[in-house]
Amino acid sequence: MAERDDTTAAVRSPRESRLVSCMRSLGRFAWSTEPAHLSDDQVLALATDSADGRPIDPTVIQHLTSCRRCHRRSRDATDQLLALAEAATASFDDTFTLDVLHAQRTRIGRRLNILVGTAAPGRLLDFPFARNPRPRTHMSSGGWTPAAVVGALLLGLAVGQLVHLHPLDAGASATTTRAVDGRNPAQRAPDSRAASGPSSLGAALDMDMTGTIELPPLPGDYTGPLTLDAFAQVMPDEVFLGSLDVALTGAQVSELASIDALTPRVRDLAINIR
Amino acid sequence: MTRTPISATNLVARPVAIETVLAGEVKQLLAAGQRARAAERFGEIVDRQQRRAARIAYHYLRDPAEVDEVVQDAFLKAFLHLPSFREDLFFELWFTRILVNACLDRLKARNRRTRWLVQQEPHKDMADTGPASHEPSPETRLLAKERRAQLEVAVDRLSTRQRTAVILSHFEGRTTREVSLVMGLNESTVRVHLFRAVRKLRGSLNRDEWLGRTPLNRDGRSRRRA
Repeated sequence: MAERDDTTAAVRSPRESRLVSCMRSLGRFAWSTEPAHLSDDQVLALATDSADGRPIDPTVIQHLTSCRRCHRRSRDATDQLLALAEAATASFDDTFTLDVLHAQRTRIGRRLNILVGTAAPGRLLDFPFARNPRPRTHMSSGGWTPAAVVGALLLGLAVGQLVHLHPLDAGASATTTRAVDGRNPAQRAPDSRAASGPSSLGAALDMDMTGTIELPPLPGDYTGPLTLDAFAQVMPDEVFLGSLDVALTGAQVSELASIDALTPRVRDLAINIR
Repeated sequence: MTRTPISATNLVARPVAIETVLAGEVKQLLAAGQRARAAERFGEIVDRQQRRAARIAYHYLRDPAEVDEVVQDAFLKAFLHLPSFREDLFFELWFTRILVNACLDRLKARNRRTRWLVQQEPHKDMADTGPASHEPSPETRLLAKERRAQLEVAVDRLSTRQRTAVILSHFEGRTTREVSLVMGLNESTVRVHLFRAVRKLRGSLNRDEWLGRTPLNRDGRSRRRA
């Protein structure tokens, strides 16, 4: 069967006879009954010996034997696949030469020997500057000094925290004052207000360990802001000054001395209030 | 990929390879406690399979250093698991499955790594260790290098199964039956992967360029390797 030529176009001459026209029509009919060319997938299936999972149609093979164009396409596809394999193999051959493969074989053999115990594993090299490394398993005599210093520091910090959290002298003074007075601070407030003189004991009793002055309660009908006049009604000047003296000369918490040095003085506060 | 056992009964037409016989001997030596002798005999298997294993791993990884590591690890893994190797199996296909799984694991690790790190250039030192046996002209070498680069890009675009089918079937010359045993898939499924892979490769590569520059097309000799 001749190869179909799709490019040539029939040119009908105006002088051709009716017989020639009929023959041409019959020829066209014969062309139309001829099977079409193989698709690309069919050609590729022939080249790869696989038809997308389906068995190859025998008519396809029959067409391939009769159609020169499809035969050429199939041969090209096969050549292309061979070229792919050839290029892939050539790339490997260029990269993995015989020397590289031999070196790899040596490494595999060495690892196998290490695995079965006939060869020792690679030796770990020492650091270049540590020619005679000292054993680190036990602490040398010189190592005790930093350890003792660190231990003493930690012990001092722990004791300091205990003293700060449980001040012995503060607890004792509070107990003493409570024993002397024998009443609640709320009950002591009127006494301090009623006391006259800067050295009144009531003002000292109204102070806590931080040196804060506890103000007496405001009158029940007073709701306005605490101005100086209102403060003077609540706490007379004599009582206030007495509280200031007690605060300045009274017992201080030693741990707060440094913080107290940074805070404004009560004396300065009193001057500003005046 | 561990569904279909690689049984010799599945490959009736194929004779028992020498590697399988050697693997049986190594297994017996290991059972007898002769580990040194077993390692020595296993070396013969390595000699027979090393080049093919490196070629398969190279088609997957393209990095000579990684190929070297994967091939070494695959041989050691095969040696360690040889006591569980069934002597009615084909060692070559069993080992190929180990190797392919190792390559796929390495590819997964590489993909995870390149998600966070800048991709490194592959090591070129092993490629520059020595000239090839044949010395073509610089133009031919340049064209060949360009074609290989195109092929590598086209193969890398394939899916994992399509790549495995193409590598084992077309690059290594394995039959579809053997590829199906290695991949643990049905034979018709392998054909589907193979067909689609080749169709995708043909679409990615320039047909005229590939066929026109193939030197083996001119002299007409066959390029199919055994």
